[in-house]
Amino acid sequence: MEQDLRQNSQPEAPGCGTNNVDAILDELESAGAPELLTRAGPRGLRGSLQALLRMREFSVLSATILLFIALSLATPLFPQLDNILLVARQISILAIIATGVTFLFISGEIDLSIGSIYGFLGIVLASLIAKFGFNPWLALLIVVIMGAAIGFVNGTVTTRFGIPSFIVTLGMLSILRGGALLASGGWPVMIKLARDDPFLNITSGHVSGLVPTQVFWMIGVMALGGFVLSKTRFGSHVYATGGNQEAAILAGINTKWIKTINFMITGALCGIAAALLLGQHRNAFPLTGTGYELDIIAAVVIGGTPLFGGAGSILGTFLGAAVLGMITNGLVLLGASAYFEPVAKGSIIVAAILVDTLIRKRRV
Amino acid sequence: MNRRDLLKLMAAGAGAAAFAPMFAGMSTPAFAQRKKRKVIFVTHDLNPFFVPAIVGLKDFGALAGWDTEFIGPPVHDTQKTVELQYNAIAAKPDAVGFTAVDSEAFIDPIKAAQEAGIFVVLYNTRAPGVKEATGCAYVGQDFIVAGNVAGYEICKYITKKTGRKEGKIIMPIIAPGHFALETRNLGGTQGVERYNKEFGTNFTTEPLAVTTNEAEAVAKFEAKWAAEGDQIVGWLASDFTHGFVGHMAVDKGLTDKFAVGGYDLVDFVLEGIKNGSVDFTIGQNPYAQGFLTSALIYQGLEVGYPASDIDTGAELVDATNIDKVMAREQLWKEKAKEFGLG
Amino acid sequence: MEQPGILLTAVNTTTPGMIGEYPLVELRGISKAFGHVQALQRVDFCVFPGEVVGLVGDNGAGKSTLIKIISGAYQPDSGTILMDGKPVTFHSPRDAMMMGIATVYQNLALVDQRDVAANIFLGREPTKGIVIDRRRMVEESVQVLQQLRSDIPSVEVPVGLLSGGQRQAVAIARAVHQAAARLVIMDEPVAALGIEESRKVLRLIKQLKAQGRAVIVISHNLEHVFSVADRIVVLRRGRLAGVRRREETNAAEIVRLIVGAEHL
Repeated sequence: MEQDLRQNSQPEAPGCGTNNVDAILDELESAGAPELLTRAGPRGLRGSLQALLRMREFSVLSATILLFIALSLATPLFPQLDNILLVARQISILAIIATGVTFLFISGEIDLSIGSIYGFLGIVLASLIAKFGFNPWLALLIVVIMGAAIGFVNGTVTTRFGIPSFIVTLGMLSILRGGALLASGGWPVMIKLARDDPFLNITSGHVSGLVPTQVFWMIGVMALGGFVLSKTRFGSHVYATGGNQEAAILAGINTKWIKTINFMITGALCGIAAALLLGQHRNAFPLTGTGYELDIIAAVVIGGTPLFGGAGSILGTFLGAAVLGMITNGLVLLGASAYFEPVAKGSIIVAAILVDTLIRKRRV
Repeated sequence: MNRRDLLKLMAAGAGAAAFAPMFAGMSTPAFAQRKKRKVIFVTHDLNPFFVPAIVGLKDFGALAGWDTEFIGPPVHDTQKTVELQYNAIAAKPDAVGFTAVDSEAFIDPIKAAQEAGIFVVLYNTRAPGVKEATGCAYVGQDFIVAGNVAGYEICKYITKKTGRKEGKIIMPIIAPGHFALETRNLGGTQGVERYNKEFGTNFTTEPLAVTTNEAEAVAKFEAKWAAEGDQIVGWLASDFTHGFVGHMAVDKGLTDKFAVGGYDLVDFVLEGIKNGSVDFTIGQNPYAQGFLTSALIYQGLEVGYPASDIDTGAELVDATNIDKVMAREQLWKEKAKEFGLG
Repeated sequence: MEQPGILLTAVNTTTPGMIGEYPLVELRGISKAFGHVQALQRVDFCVFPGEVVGLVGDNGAGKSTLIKIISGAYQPDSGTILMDGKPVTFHSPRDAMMMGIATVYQNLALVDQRDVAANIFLGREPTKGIVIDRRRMVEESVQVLQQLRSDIPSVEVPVGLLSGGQRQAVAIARAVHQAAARLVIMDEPVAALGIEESRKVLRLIKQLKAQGRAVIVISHNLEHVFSVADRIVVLRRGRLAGVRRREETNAAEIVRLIVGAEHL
């Protein structure tokens, strides 16, 4: 160190670099200010194209469009309105939970217990209605609050005790699956509501006999999630928390609380998702949601949200869910081997991340 | 249920299997002249157990000149099964074969199929209430009957092997809440009670949730044995996990300490019977669940008869008939590899 | 560009007084210990408005401790801090920030995935109702970067795509903007930068000075210190080893102060 200092400074003696640098600085200043800062990058067609390429959702958007075209060419059954609405309904529940998981991923955390929370809350919701005679809407409210409370536990243990969320939620996965089995005794819990009960209609009916209400639930939840994430201070702090936690803390952001809230959002959304499924099946199963966390995480990752946080979007997650839904549906329509589905899904996940990484590299 | 009923059921299953070569030898002019049909089977858990059912569907489909498809989630999952059923309906087939492991959740997709003019027959599992709600016929095991057979049988083996008059029978179950497995356990308990009444014994039953992961299941068995070994006289799985009990018995030298029974003809269960670590297993003829379901569909589509229920039986496999059964089941092992389910 | 008033009146003593003007920040007899380690021992220090002070010393000399006391991260065991001649106490970095003291950390504390505007407003995003006032963020970011004569092409580019010097500019812009900073403390601002990028940062420091702000720069590179500092403060083993005006010293003398006379 001492050696370095001497070597650095000795040859230039008194006054040394000073005048030099001053001269350079003066020269720079007399040459006028550096090129004026513009508000954004290049505009116009080229600018728009660059902006499009820069979008995180670019790869998943192209994948969605290509997959749609490919399946439509492969079978005329695919692009029919009925089938599109079917796929939209089939991804709704997944996409609703995935919205919460997107928040979590962006803030740099993961929740492996989502499938179990979803299954457990389904059993609780059905039990409240069937065994304790609760009004279904009140039961739904209770279950959403319970979901948030479970998220609070996940978040608090993770952030206050410094245990990785991977471990904490793996424990919660097991606890709640056991809880669902204990609460139900292993048997399905049936709700005996009239077929035209408003609860059933609103959770899993159709609007004007055509569009499934679950699709509206998905649109509502995702639009709200997207708004919060991209337009509010909270959303901005979620990105900062996952992007550079230390920087966020120095900037006065309570990152522990941000993460805990994200766990709570995720838990609460599992409650809504459980209600939508219960409305559809009128029966809750203790094993519902087993392994579901992997599908949900796949949708989020395909949608361009990285596991390590700091980036991602709800739009991407929606497209990721759409890709998964189209694959499942399309393979059945095409009559492909059933065991091909996991292979196809896995390949799409890897391909999506690969394309994303390549684009990002070229950009930087 | 007595031995004679059982033999009748077995005959029904064997009869179904005997059809295939019969058809294969025919020149099938009647089949060939029919319209090309599309038939899709959806199951709730696509595991190697369904290989004979897949082959049954394919065999019949080949005879009839159908396009066939057999799909299901890789692990038991009601939600995914329902969605696959809807996807199958969207493929606009002429007929579908569904399993209905729940009383409520499968009614909507079955009705949706019926409303779309698709002929529906249920196979393997039909939960209570589904027949009433949809009118669908069922090809598969009667689980209460099969459970009764197994419950009675395990008591016979306990008496023979241990000579004890009382004790606990553990009932491992891989999917708590699965209608078929829970019902077998229910029937199993009834069979045990029937035996208790007839012979003045006092055997009790107790369920034990396990998984299809052998290491995990065996760990639970060992823990249970360590804790209550003095009370346990038998194991009656609601599924194929009695094969895992057999492995544990061989490893720990416990084969003469308790009786071991369960369901289905999975290869390691059959090997257990062969080496004496498993006492018996109850078959349900999954080939018939593919083949005879297809036959009902055929006569419904081409001739117009409504489908009616077919019990595919409760075939008792033990040391007396194991060699014959193993020779027969060898075929599915090869087919499983072919389908990528091995 | 330089403000002649300050250069003329600042005197070469350990506590340079100014006629009719108080130092912006003054430390008197500051001591700080961590367990048995005496990090600072009765250190005096001051910085005037529009003045650039270079803070140098070997590793462990107490530089970081000193600036953390000024930025409110540490509280001194004894001694006084004065701002504009009045005693003050900082309980946290937020207190110091409220008083116009901003710190640019060595790792810059930027969120790479977020754009320039979002980083400049990190943690303090302005809102209209519940919606972030994005237009205001962009406009003010452009304004503050223009003041610094930064060459950042757009405030809507993620900072991860910027060069080291540009990132430094964003960090400084944030410091300047958030504190309406009267004093900017910079910890090794050019340590990781190439020649060209270093020059840009040095120019930024000149710019801050030209705006009348005070700057404290910690650097191991004496050439850089000489190029921007009006005064150079040397710490050694937690004590003040000397204070020199740039015009009246040279690198050799500073090095002697840093390593201690007995070594030469």
